[in-house]
Amino acid sequence: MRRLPATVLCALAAVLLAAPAPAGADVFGSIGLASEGLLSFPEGTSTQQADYARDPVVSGDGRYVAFDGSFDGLSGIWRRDLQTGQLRPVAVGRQLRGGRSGCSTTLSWEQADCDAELPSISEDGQYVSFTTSAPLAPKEDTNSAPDVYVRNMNLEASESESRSCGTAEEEDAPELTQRCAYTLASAVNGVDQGLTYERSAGLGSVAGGRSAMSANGQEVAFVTTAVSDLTDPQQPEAPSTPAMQVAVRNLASRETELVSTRLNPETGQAVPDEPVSGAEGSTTYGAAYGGAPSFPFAFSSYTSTQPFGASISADGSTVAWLGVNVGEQARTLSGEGAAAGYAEPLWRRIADGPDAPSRQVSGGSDPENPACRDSGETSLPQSPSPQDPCQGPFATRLSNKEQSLWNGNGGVGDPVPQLSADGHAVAFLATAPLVSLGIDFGANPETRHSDLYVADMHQTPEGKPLTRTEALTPLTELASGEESKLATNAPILDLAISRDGSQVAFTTKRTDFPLGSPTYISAATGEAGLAELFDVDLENQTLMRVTHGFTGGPGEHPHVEVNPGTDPYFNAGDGALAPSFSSNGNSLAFSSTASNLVYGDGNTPPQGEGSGPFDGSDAFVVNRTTFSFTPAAQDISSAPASPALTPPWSLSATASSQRDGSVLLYVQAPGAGALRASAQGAVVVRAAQLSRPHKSAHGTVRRVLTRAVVASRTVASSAHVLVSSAAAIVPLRLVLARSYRALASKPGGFSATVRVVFAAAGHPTLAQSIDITFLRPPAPARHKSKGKGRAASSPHTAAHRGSTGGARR
Amino acid sequence: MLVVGLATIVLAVNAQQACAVILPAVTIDGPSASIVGFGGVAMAEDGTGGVVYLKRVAGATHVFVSRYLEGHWMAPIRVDNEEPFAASWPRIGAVNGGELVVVWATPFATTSNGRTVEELLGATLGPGSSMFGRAIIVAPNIGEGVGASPDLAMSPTGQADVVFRVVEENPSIPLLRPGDVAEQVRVARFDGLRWSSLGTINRDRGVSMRPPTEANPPQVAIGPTGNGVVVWQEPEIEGVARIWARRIFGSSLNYVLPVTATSFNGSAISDDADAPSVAFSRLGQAEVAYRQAAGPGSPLPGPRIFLNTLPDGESANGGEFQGASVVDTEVSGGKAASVGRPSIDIDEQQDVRLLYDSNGTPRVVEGNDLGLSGTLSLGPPVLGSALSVASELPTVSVMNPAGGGVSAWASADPQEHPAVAVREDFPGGAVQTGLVSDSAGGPIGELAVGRSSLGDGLVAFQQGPLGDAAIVASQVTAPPFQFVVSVPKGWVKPSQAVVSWEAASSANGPLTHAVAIDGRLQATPAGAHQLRIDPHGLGDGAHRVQVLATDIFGQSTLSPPSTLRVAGLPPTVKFAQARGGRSLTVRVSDKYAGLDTHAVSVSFGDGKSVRGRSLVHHSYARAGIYTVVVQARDKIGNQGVLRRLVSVP
Repeated sequence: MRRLPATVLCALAAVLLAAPAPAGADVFGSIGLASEGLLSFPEGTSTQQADYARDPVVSGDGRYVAFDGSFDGLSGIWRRDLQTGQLRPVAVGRQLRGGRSGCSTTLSWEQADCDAELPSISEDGQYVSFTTSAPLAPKEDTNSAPDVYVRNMNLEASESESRSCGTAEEEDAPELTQRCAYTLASAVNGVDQGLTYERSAGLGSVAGGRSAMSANGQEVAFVTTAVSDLTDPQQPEAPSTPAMQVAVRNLASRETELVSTRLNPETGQAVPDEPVSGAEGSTTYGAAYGGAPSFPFAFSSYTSTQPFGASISADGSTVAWLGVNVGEQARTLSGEGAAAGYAEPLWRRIADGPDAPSRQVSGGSDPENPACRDSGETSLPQSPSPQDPCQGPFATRLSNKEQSLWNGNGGVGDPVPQLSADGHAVAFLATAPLVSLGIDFGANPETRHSDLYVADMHQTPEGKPLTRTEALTPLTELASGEESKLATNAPILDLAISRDGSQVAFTTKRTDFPLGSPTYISAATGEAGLAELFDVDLENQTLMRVTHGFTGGPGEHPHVEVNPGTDPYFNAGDGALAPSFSSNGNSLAFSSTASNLVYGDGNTPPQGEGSGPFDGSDAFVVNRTTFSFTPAAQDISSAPASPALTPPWSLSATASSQRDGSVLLYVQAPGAGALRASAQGAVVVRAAQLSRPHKSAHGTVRRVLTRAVVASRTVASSAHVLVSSAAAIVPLRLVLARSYRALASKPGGFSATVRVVFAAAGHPTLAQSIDITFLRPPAPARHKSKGKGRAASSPHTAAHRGSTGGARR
Repeated sequence: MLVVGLATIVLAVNAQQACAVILPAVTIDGPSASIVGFGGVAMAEDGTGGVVYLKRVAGATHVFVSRYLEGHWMAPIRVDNEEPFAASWPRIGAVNGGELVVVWATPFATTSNGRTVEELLGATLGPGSSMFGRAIIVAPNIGEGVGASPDLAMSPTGQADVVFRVVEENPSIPLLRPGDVAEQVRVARFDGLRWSSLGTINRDRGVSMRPPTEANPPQVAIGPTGNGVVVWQEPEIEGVARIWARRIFGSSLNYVLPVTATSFNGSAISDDADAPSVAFSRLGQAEVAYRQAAGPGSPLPGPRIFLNTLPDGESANGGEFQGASVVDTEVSGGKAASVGRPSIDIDEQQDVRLLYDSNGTPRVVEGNDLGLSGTLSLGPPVLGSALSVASELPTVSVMNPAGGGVSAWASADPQEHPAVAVREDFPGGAVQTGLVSDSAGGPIGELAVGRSSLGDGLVAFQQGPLGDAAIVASQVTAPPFQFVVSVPKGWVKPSQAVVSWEAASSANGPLTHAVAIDGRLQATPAGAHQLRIDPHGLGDGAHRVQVLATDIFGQSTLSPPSTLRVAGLPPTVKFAQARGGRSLTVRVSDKYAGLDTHAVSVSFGDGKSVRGRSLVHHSYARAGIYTVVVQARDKIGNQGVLRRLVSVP
């Protein structure tokens, strides 16, 4: 048994197995409050938490979070440095009191009202876009309509600089305007002059929150909510560009481009600078979804983001918006004749030039499917069929009535599609059911709640576009047909997609996510509550809840007691909203009205006492946990020793007579040492002695007489040296000395006593004695039976087998 | 993926052979984006068992099991072979011979209003089977399966109980607390062939329940006769969540028993109790541990673990719990102390072992009929991970029926890389500890331990976040169980020295046995259950006989020593001459087997002889040399003839 090596192995068992593999993870750490920080007032510095905060957006590098909110009576856009905790005003002023409008870059009580909101931020946090009705470039912005501005956070708008900016504006000198803190983005193409709008309170240009700015801060996407001179600047006194047009302003080149252009159905190309508009009944629709959204939006309880705007990809190449008048902007089936109000997400790659057409992201039809083109089909049948090559993923022709992909979602939710950095991954919400869901439990498409999808706008390797069905990945699915049941059917409220398109964040009150992919891996809560933030990892195909109370459990804030099954949080958008990712997808900013996401949230109004925007909403940041690739070294302590066998230090021997007259000893020796055996026997010897003296002729003489006597003699001996420390059975053969050998042939043999002695250094000498018999049976006569020759085993000679009981130390 | 899995198993085998007792962790499956759930681990009395987890296949989550048999993990196999829909809540039980029982939830219908309804299914892997049988219904409707958290307990006779929660969809009862749910706690029983419902066990279905969390699922324990105890959390009508229990007698439920202490030092406890853990002895004694929160105003100095005992049903006081008591009064931190979920086990002697996290320190409380023996700090701290705070990560402990036990908890190595700390306390008092981890590392998630009746344990855990997780297992192997060795009674001749023994019980067979005589191992053929001892060198006298049983990991158990009495020598003869040599005394004796006096004959060589006496005196009339011949025999038949020359002067 070689047990020792195994034991040694155990003792040394620090096992480092195979090489570690990279680990991605859908795990987020503890939630941090972003809408608090160090404010540097003229009187001194203090740490404050916002009275309210909403629409946060995190910079691509993850260092800054911009949000609109209120600190110490000053409201507007703020930016927090997550490294230093420093809060800086982007564009703030007094909370709206109906006074003169104006926003400032400094903290001062001598300020006008500021209504800036809906920020987007550049990669490094230097530029922040927002919408305000304040004329922050007064020479260029000459109306009270909302306009889109970009704040350069590296510049302070001191009084002298303001004059300088005024001069710059007057001179229309771009090199000078670049030194201004605020730059007007909703401006006329080629110049700094702001757009002119058909006068209507609260209408002008609006940039959607979080996704209106490219990573470098130079491109800003916005939507005109009023009739403007966007495409006809030469006649500012009579603007004619229809409202709800999507445009992008390049701050560096001072170009403003109409994105939502009309499609030339003959060429399949866009018609530059030609806006779209159409009427359905008494309602006139532009290019982007939305009615007549009056700015400012946030002067009420914060329930949801606004359902309009446009997204621009981080590389500035692509713009997406929820389009209406879809047939005017993108390819549709020739006989489709979609109503003007029919809404679908649209996508246009502006980097491909002014002729690049807008495309459907997803929808009820798929006219770009080559199989559809080949089929000659001009309109969808009344009953959608997945086998129809012209059928898109969504069932939009139900009950003989065309339904938009977006039915309004009960007035909640952000239908503005979100883009990955290169614009090819589009996340969007849709309320229409998928064709693949069949009858969809008879759900009413007009009231059906939204689900979340991602579409891939890449082409196949052969250069063909993916069919819209191939391109679509559903990320959520209603779990029942009961629209009123929050756990299964609560609408998806808000969304964001990471730069690489691998992560999609969304918020909802829903708790049941039945899709197998992505697999919902968080513990489902028993009842729906506040809207929570969720994250879909498209690489791992997992879905997990990100938000939780700081002690675990769901997000909460004070609420009234309600009957079972009733939503205790009355506002549909109560909870988490406005997610945004940093560039690496590892930081998520979001807002929430929950009061238990961080310890010590101090702005939550008591139950029922919140009013207006002061509903306790805050901006938060949570970071994805990235794990060390280094596994723990397996380390196992020594195993307890196996049971020990402890042989005694003893001697044991047996002997047997051999047919040749010898005796074979088997000695159990305890270890290394010298073994010696010697047999003593009684033999007859002739003893010599002197006779009694007697006189003779020669005097007194004594004769030598001999006579037989019995004496003990050593008749045989043997020895052996053991070198192994292990116990062993040693055979020793004792052969009678020549002079006694004949004794073994006598009848009955020759009896002797053998003494076995074992000597080893450091141990006492062991000795044993055994009676033995040397016996050589007479040579068997031929006629004699064989049995008689087996004297050694006969009872008569049994005594020849001797043994000792063992001598012990 | 299959190739990777097989390679993993081969690696596992190689790793196992390098060490014994606590073995390095092996990866059962993953790390992979497909691993999306961990269901637990189970071990039968004979040391077979398995681990169950969820894995996504073709977009749907399914149940997979890796069986543990004869010290090896088998390649994972899918359980829900015929179920197309996503599975959840897998749980596993083990029966001797490698039989496994798995339950899980899966959607089975959609109602007219589009609501998905789930059922609880079960399937069995027979002892010799390589695939699970058809799924059978455990519970036909468990609502949407939210928070079902089934707990499966398996008896060695193949019966099982499963307890689970069903959250009602449209509750009509008033909610005691915001966030509460209307919930039923139900029990189903498996008789070895099919499942039957024992119904809802809630004490009062008119009160709302706390929302289901990982810290408040119901638990069940079962004994070999099929009787058991189920425990669950349920608020009193005042709204304080307590722990309750019911005995299960076969297929009938007994009345509800309160487990929780409602007061402390005379003041009412008005905070919730959660995290019940139950163990059930062979004789029917139940031990229930739970965690008692201590909010402001609580009479408790801080959160504490309580233990309560339900004596066996045969005893006079077996009808109610004896009263819950705090197991550890010395917890620092006051009300801010962090106390984790307890894990309790009980052995055949009704000794208990309770493990929990006390402010990050893994603590064990041991106890018996005489009471608790205090707390023992086990070693490396309980550390939280990116997946959970420490107090909400499970600590798990099971007992070795011979004493000691296996404990496991989430921890980390000195460089703070997450790992699972495993500690084995041996019956003799020795201790072995280990930090085990998947080769890819990552935070520790769910953790479970199963045990045999032989002292073995299986520690299985999820490492890495779901969606990029690995299912990892470590074996804590016990040496072969004590066994019986037989030797001949009384004195025997060397040729009759035969040692026989029973095969030792072990989960890590096949075993090898070797006979040791006086501490010296004898060559013993493999598979033999008896050995004829080589008579060479086997001297007369009493010899110490032991048998060493060794398992495949090199762990050994030495049987208690037996005494083999061997006598191969004929009686001893001593001669003494006196009176100038004329008088001869012959003394015949046998100090081992004893002298058969009747068989003694002494011939003095002068024509005279004596029979039947052990002590003979003889006087020679004349001088001369005589050959004295003594024949003697002991009581077991060793006889001999001794010739001695005697010189008479």
